[in-house]
Parts: sequence; structure tokens; C-alpha cells
Amino acid sequence: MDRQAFEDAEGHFGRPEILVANSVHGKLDALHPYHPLEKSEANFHKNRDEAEMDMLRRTFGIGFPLKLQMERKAVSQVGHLSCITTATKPSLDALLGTDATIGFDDILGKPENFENMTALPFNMIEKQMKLM
Amino acid sequence: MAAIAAPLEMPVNGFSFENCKRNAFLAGNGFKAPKMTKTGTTICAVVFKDGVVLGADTRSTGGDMVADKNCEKLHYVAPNMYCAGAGTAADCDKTTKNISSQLELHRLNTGRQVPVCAANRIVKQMLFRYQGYIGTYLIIGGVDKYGPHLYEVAAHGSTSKLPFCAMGSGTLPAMSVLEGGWKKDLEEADAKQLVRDAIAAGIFNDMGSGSNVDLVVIKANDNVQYLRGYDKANEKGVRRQKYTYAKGTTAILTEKVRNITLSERSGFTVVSEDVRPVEVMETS
Repeated sequence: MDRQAFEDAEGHFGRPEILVANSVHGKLDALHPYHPLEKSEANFHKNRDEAEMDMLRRTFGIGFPLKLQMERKAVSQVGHLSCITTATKPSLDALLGTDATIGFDDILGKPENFENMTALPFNMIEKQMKLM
Repeated sequence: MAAIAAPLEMPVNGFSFENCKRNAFLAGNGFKAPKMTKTGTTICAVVFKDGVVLGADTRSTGGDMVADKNCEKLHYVAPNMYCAGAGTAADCDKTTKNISSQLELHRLNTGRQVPVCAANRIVKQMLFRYQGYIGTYLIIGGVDKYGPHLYEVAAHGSTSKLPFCAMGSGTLPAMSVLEGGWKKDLEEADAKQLVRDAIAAGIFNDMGSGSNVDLVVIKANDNVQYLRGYDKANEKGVRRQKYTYAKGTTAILTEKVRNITLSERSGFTVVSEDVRPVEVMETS
């Protein structure tokens, strides 16, 4: 990192914040959130899907949820990441049912409405490559 | 997390909790947060023979102050459904708009009129997800192909299906009127009068409710009548005369004139002072 990057890394309240996510502050913030809903909201969709898959496994056996998850995985690998383009994944939306619902997830916090770039495309692609 | 702080992950859609950390920091430094605008409210609704009547007052308060003397608490949700909202004003507005969009999508998807129980379930599941932090207390009323329905929803996600209900800070006065006056299969005029009386009881007995009474009458086949300002019970009176005094009523006896210069430190120094009597003014 050159000096320019250091000077730009100014975080909240004027203090320089470099690598805050992995510092003590970042870790403490993750452990003790400032709002009781932070953890619950971050994991909401994951928990709901897991609970649903578990219920399906108990009632219909392993085959049905396995097929559903395979369909979702296959469909989510097509298309670009949202940091590169704002076009969404229509087949994934159709499978998950989010094309027929609208909630605060679709109105607030959309990546295309942020003023700055929130995630470097390089890091996102690297993360995806590790999984693919 | 902030942009530079976590470049490895995309922020999650939906609510962002970034400002909670800032608020905690500011509160620690002694900064008092502004008060939310609430609808300290009286809302009530009854089921009558042909449909439902919903009523609400029109005062919204921010702490001890009246923020809006004539706000709208009866929100459109679907062509056959209206929603009365109490609690935090912004939460009510946004939640009802959200349900409205959701129901329209549902109607387009299924190709038929959305039943009131569907609206109830959507709201209930959403409010439970946010564990009561979205402070909306709603009365959803509508007429679908199964008949007239009335649902009462609290902020934590509990609901009740009732023939008549009241919510808000003026619940007690409104409920006492409704309990005394409700019968099965009321006529439309009687139902409107009953709701008007219940809201008026809330307006005059509860500090958080005031101004006018709004009504919505919903009957079968999307027959909706929105009566904004049905009863303007608290109109400001009109002054009948001028109560000002004519010029010269108070006699001025003496006049003191002081010449001052502003000094460098805060304050001023008097240069000269002059006291002189004033001639009698002509009263016009």
C-alpha cells in the first residue's frame, strides 16, 4: 500500500482506520452489536432457508431438499456479481420467490444506491473463485 | 460497516445499523437524541351489516408538542382495504405502503382479489421479524369475497380478529363507547355515528388525540368512501370584534435617550444621556 491509500483510509469521526475489520475494534463490534437486531437481520435469510430445508428433510426425505438446493446453486452461478452490474439473477429470484415479494430488503440498502464503491470487485471475484 | 472498513464483503440489503454505533458514541458524549413523531392516537373500527367503518383522529405529536394538527392516519392498502395506524408515524406510513405494494404484487400473481387475512399475515410476519422495533399498531379493515373483516395488529406481531376494536393512547375512552354501543348487524348510519362518537371520546378525553375525525366506510365490491374531516370538532373560533387599543391610549410622560458606543469587550459605554418630557399625542 502506498501513502495515498493510508491518507484516504479515514473512518468515523476523523480517526484513521486501517484494516478495521480485523482490528480489536472490529472484532468487538462484531461480538457486541449496537442494536439487538444486527445479528438476527444479518442471518435472517440463511436461518429461514435452513429451517425450511430441515423441515422438508424430515417430512419428505433427503431427496427433495437436495434437489431444491441443487437447483438454487446451479442458477446462482450464472450471471455477474452485484458489485459489477446491477442486473439481478431472475431465475434465482423466481426460485426463491423474491420476484413476488417486496419488503425493506428491496427498498433500503441497495448496492446501486450507495455513493461509493463498497466492495472491491477484485475481492468479490476472488471469493467467488474459491467457491467455484 | 463503512466502505473502507470492510472491502471484503458486500453490505447486506435492508436496514443498515451503521448509525447505531454513531448514536451510542454521541449519547456517550451527552448528545440527546431527537424525539420521534408519534401518533398519540385514537383509532377504532367496527363491522356493520354491509361492511366495515374505520375511524381516526388527526393529531400527531412529537413528545409533548403537536407536530401536525391535521395528519392522515387512515392509509390506503388495497382497493378493498384500508388501514388505520397508531404508533411511530414514519413506521406506520412506510409499513402500510410496503403492504400495499406487496398486496398488489400478490394480486397480479394470483389474478384475484386479495383477502384481508392475507394482508394480516404479511404484516404479522414482517413485524415479528423486526421484534417490535418497528413501532406500528394497525387496524386493518376490508371487505373481500368472504365478507367484512377487521384485524388488529400490534408492533410485536400479535394479531386478533375482532368485530370492533380500538387502538392508540385513546383506546380506553373509545373502547368504552364501542362496548356500550355495538350490536350485531348495525346500519351504516348507526355505525358511522358510533365510530364518530368513539373517536370524539378519545379526542376530548385523551391528551394525545385531537383535532378532527376521519372516517372510511368500506362495503362490498370495492365500494369505499373516504370521509376526510367527517367531523371537525375542534375548529378554531373566529374573533367577532377587534380587541386592539387605539394609538395614544397610553400616555407617554417622559423620554430618555442614551447615546452609546460599543466597546471592545462585550457591552457598551454610555456617552451621553438626555431626559425630556413628551408633548401630549393626539389620539387619532
